[in-house]
Amino acid sequence: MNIFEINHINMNLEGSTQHEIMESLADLAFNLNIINDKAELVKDYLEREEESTTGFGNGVAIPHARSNNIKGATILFGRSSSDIEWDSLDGKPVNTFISLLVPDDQADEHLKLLAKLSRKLVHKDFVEILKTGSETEVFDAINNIVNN
Amino acid sequence: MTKIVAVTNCPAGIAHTYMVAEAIEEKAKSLGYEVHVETQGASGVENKLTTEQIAEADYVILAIGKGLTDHDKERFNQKKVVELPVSEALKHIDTLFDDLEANSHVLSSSKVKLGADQETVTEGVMSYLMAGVSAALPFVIGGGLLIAIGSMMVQFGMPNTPLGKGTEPSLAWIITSIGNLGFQFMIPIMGAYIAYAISDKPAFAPAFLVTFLANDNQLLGTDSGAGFLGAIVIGLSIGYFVKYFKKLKLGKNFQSVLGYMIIPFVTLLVFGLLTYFLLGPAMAWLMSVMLSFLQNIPTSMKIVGGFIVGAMLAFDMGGPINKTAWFFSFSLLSSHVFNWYGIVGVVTLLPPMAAAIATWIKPSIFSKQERAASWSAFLVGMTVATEPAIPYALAAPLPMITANTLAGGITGALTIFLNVERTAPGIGIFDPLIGLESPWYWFYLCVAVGLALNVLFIITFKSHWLKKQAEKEAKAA
Repeated sequence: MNIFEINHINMNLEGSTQHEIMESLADLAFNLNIINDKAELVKDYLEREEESTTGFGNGVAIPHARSNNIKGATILFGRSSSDIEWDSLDGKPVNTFISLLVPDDQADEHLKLLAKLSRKLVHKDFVEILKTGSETEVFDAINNIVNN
Repeated sequence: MTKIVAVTNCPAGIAHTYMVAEAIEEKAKSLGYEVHVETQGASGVENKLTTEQIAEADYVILAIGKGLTDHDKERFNQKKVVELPVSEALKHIDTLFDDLEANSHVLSSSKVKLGADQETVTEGVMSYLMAGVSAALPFVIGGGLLIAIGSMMVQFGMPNTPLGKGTEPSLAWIITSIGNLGFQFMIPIMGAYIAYAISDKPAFAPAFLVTFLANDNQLLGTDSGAGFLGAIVIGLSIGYFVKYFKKLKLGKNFQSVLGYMIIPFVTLLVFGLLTYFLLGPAMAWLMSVMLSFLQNIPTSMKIVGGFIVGAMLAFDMGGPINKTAWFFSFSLLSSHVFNWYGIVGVVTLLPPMAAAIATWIKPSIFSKQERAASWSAFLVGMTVATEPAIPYALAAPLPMITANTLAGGITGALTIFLNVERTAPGIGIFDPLIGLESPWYWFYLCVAVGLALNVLFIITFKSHWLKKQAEKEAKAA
């Protein structure tokens, strides 16, 4: 399976709290057969948030996890209809989510792709597409980075 | 032009490490600064800062989410450093560069100083050996002190009962056995960390296991393990082997398992078999040649023989050459020839004690860690074992081994000339007191002369060697 596919996108993530959004992302991951256990992924997400927030400002968050619950390196993308309180760096709520999932023993190749994607997240034009682009535009933007 | 170097890391090593690296690079470039960012992420260290880049940098930014080891920080000693959490760096990226001068402080870590004002060696073979040294030192310190406690307990009359069917082992035996693990694993840990320093995680497991095999005479079927010289050879060969192995392109399906499956498996198989079928027999052959050479030294050339045996004993500290000389001397005990074993009693004390004394007389030519280990090296060295000298030798093989070997040889010659005799293994420097080594006055004279020479040689040779290294580095820079 590729690290990112069109069906890794959910433009209508359900939920109005951080916890509910994480559950929705876990549902998506579980239905794609990427993880073994939903509750564990939510727990891993939360643990990472406790270290420091993944809401890096501008309405975008990158909840991520590294665990042997995860079967293969994957990128998930989602948007929520409501604004979610995420304790972001800029204090603003979040509605755009890009989630990176990595198995414990992940090999270099995929980690490099995720690193490449992470680097893109500090570029305003790229973030703008994530925030406002259509499903296809978002797919193309991410896909261009990781599948080429 | 302002020059910046930075290091980024974060808890998971997936996202923030790279976001902040990119943000710092972009921001610095927009300001017209020259910038180099080292990322310490889940896939290891990338864009590792070179000594030169660090030397030239005006400011160092450490955007850290999971801490930096002291060792890692030492690189930035005396630089102007801005240190902040990785998330803060992301949050304040726009203002981060506004007042670097006011926000930075001059870092003064307990830098490893090699020589007067010399930089830490950060690349090349020596830095790989140093990685082995710092990993191995705690093993030899912890293990050595336990063994020393165990032997003291026995000398003070406590029972030394090994574990057996139906018998409870005694406390002294248990403590000594636990301590022995430190010596046993010190060697594979050295090999593993030398390889790890060259090519990271994939090299660790095979280097550990192969060095263990090479140092285990029972597995290998030889009279001696390969010792610390074996660890150097194996650590370096596996390190470089894996370094090039990693560049292999295997196509999408296999590439992902290259690092944690294919490389360790193939490397272990290849080097394990090489060690078993080449290194083992080669060592056995070498030892038998040396042994028959020693046995054929005519009695009229006793002094020369004493020199050779002393030099061999001090040469590799537990390796095949040492073991051969030891075996030669020890086996003569059964024929009631005690003077060759007298050399063992004197010379094996010298390398660890001399290394420790040298760190006290001239601390500037040793690392902080080496200096900190000196008391334990001295205590363990004078009572039970030569092993504590190994890390010192590994840190500077050429001058240290030359100094030890030369001092060992001269002392060996002196010992046999004065006919110092030893009848059984004991507790090192206290042997004459418990009647194992005599005459006591010649024994202590030999030890004193040996130590004086050994310390003098270490200081002379290592200072000279460090100066040469510094010149080489200056030329390269």
